[in-house]
Amino acid sequence: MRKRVEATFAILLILLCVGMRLAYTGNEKLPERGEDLIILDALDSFGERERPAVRFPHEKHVADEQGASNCLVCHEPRSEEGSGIKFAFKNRDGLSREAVKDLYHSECLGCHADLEAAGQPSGPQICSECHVNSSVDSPRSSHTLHFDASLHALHEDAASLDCQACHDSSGAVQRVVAQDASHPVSPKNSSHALCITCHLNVRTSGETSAPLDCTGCHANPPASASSSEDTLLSENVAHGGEVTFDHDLHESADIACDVCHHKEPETSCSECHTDGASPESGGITLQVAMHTRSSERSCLGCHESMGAGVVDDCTGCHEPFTVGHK
Amino acid sequence: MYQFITGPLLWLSFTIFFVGCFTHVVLYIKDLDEALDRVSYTTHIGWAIRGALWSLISWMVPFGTRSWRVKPVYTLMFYLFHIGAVIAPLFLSAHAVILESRWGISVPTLPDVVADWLTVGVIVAAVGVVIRRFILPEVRILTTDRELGALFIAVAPFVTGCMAYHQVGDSTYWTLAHILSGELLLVAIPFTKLSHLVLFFCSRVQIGIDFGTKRGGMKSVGMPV
Repeated sequence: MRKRVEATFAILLILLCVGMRLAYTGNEKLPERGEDLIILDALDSFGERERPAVRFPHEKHVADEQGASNCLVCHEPRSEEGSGIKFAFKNRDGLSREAVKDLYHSECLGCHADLEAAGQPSGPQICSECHVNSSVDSPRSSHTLHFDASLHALHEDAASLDCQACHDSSGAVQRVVAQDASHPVSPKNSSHALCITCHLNVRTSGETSAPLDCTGCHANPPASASSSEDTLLSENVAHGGEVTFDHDLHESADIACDVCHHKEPETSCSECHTDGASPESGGITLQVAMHTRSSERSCLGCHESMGAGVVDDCTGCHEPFTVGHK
Repeated sequence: MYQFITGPLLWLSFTIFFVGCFTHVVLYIKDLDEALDRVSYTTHIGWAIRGALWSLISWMVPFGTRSWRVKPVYTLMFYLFHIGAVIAPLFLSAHAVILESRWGISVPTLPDVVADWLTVGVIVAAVGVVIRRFILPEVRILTTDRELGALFIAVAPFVTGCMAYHQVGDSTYWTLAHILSGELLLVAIPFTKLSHLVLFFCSRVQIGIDFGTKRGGMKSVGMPV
């Protein structure tokens, strides 16, 4: 026996592995995807990564019934009361590369291990189950949010929000201004700060309708949305936001044509001022052209200079968003 | 499964490994006999230490001794195997993560790409060693299932680890196989020829003392040069 101990161990090892292969109902690990997917790329700012970035399924980590307090397991609250949470992982600011790595490993693996020890459903603890190779990657799913008329109506009617809750005076969606000018807030973070902070406050007050999970807002399949029956239906039953412009009224108000038609009398605003900043418009979008208070060519600027006072009621011009047929 | 094999099973493997290796060293030293071996281990302690260190260092440095120099290809395979086999697992960043998260011990780590190449080196060298064992008659006659078994046990964690790292096929399976084969290697070391992990040092020290004192090491002491 002693003479053959190596071979015995080797055979044991083969049996062990084969047995485990047979017993183990393993599944080929597919990369996580979906609207709730977040790529944890915090190490990217330190240079090249050693392992594939973690594809983090946010939804799996949010136990909705626990409400807003659940966010604080992974996120820090912002310093001011009611100002929501920081979207980065907690305690991450200012850490070195190694410290960031250690933080994620200890928090993620620690939680997964604790859950397994407690006999509860848990997450992965093996390297490759989180760091899934990008060579078998599928395209990152889109996070586009279709804030259509029905959703708009829902916020205005059901949630009784003023236009100014989300829009600035130019009509654009409010942008969060960075405290540090060298680190501008991305549109994504800005929108999240605006929406999720509000939803968090609503949820904290006991109301349950405002979604906090990713797919609560990012649920529409983006590519096929325009052809989807649901979307068409929602667009039919909700409407609002249009401006019914009474040209005759403006003519009779003793305004020269070239105040508005400053290029040529026959050229309408939207020929140059498109939704994007076209070269003909001098970089001024239609929205900006209509809402710039400092310009008398714009609706708001003209209304204010004509003595209408500061215009802050959007529905003076825009149709309110309502649910129901036109 | 993962918690068990990286928890109690790992502790058990480490215990067997450390106790087994320690026992080997203790028994080796206990069984030394100045009279039977005809080596005065303790009489010229300075010369003994000098000889022991010289022997250890010479045999650990590539091409440091004559035997390494007469078989350069084998020497390269040998060092490719052993350097990777020792350094890669000890300084692998993924192992450091486990150490850090379980016991809060922080260890220096190698870049993954270096550890990966070392691992590939171990596997290539192992294949080379097996081929050598089969094609050279002087080692073929010495090759039994003990040698092949020991090599298989030693290389298995590197192959499975490499598969897991590169995520070939089901990486969860490869990772679990990697952990289990690593634990089996730890357990096998005291009971197999793999015990050379510690016994190499014992025999080199012993032979170093022998040659450093008796067999010519002290030849010129007190003698006219």
